[in-house]
Parts: sequence; C-alpha cells; structure tokens
Amino acid sequence: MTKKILIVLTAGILAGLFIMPEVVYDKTGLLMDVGLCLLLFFVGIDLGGNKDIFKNLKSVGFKILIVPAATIIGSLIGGIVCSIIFKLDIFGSLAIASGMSWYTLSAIIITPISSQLGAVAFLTNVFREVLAFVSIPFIAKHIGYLETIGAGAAISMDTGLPMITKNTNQEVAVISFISGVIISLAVTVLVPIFVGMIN
Amino acid sequence: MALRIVMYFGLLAVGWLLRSKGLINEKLTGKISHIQTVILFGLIFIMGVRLGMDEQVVSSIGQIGVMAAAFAIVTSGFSILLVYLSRKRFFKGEGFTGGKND
Repeated sequence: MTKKILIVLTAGILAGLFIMPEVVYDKTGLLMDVGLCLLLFFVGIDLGGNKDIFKNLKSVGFKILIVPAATIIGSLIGGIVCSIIFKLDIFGSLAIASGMSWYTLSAIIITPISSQLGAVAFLTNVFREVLAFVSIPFIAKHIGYLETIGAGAAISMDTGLPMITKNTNQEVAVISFISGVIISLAVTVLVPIFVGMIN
Repeated sequence: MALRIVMYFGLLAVGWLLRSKGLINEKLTGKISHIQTVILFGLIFIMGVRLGMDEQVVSSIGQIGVMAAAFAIVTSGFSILLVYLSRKRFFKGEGFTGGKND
C-alpha cells in the first residue's frame, strides 16, 4: 500500500511540475473537495454496516478525548524540542508545531509576522501530511491503530480518514474523525495564540 | 470551517443511515472497499499535482526544507509517542492495538 501511495504521489508531483497547465491548479481544490465528500459518504456506508460501533464507543466514553489531547501535547513537545535544536524563538516554534498538518491555515496566520517562519510552517505541515500518508500503513501494522491518529493529526477527520479507515477498523475511524475535529479546532486557537507571543 | 465540519458529519451520517436502514444495494456494499481505494488514490494524485504546481512549495524546498522536514518528523514522532503511551495506559483490546503491543 505504502509503495503504491508513494508512486501515485510522486506521479502527481511530477505531473504538477512538468505536465499540468496552470488552469488545472484552481480546479484541483474543487476536485479534492468532491473526492473527499464521496469518500466520507462511502465511509458512512461502511460504518452503517456495523451496528456495534457506537455501542463499543459508548464503552470507551470520555477516554475518546485522550487521543486528540495526546496528539496536541505531543506536537507541542516536538515544537519545543525543535526550538532548542534550531535555536528558534520558542513561541514561533510552537506556532509552527501547532499547525498539526493543516498547512494552509498555519502558514497564513504566521507569514504576516515572519515570512521565514511562515514558509517553514507551510512546508512542515505539508511534509507532516505526506509523512502521515506514507507512514499510516506502517504504524497500523507495527505500532498500533490509535497511533495512526497521532500521525494524521488534523487530517484525521478528512484527507487522512480514508487512509486510517483502510488500515485500521471502523471504531478507530470514528475516533479518528472526532479527534480530527478537536485537533482542527485546536489549530485555529493555538496558532494565533503562539503567533501573538512571538518576540 | 464550521460549515465544513457540519458537511463532513452530514455525509458520514447520510451514508451510515442509508446502510443501516438497508437502502444500499448489496452489490454496491460489496464494492465499497474497492471504490474507496480508487477515490483515495485519485485524491493522493491530485494532492501531488497541487504540491508540484505550488510555486511557494517548490521554490522554498531547498532553502528551508531540512528544517521543515525535522519539524515534521519530530512533532509527528512526539504525537505518535504520546498516543502510544496513552493507549497503553487507557485503552485495551485488539480493536485499538491492531493486535500489536497489547
């Protein structure tokens, strides 16, 4: 699965670099939205086939909040570690880490304060999204199902959800969606807060 | 953002309701996994096209790529580590572990 994903992704990047005319770029947003909506609809159909999912989730209870909380705290610790490695302003580093795969939003908020940090934020979260796509099959197979949500972070509710569903199970897919929603909401709050604290 | 979240929930709910009420043709339900794979690869290809066509991404990769790659690996790694530790502490069962490290 991972090899196929890398091949398809590489083919897409090469097509974007060398083949596709400029006009295609504007249409890709709509195509991704339509594809995503179709996927979510089919994920819903998949979920509807298993009547025990919500019964099982009920038994998990409030613990469902633990996964997004661990993902967010983990990202922030990573941000602090990177600020030490690269001798960056700690709040700038935390702002980058708070993007949690949502590269469009974090870069847009950070760039007016520092274009360099904005560019790092953009690429960091692009890389993190690609890294999630590539690593989710490996993580699901060798580490554990819930950990795939830690890799996907904000994309666990949309573009990463089909990948997580494909490699885990329906219970984890529901936790993934809810975690992705919570993490995405956290991005909209945390990035502006840390940007406001940059020296 | 709020509208998108509502739409995503709505699509999941409509699909779930249709299937749970038995309104989806059995032939279609048998092909769902295949359809999902095809759409998924389509989405990944389009994402690649977007990355390849985005001048901001292409032009800045050489300049700050190493720093961004390190940020991506470290933040993702710590998130996975904390979810792993939380799962070991709070979640039991093969449904969450995938049969590993239970």
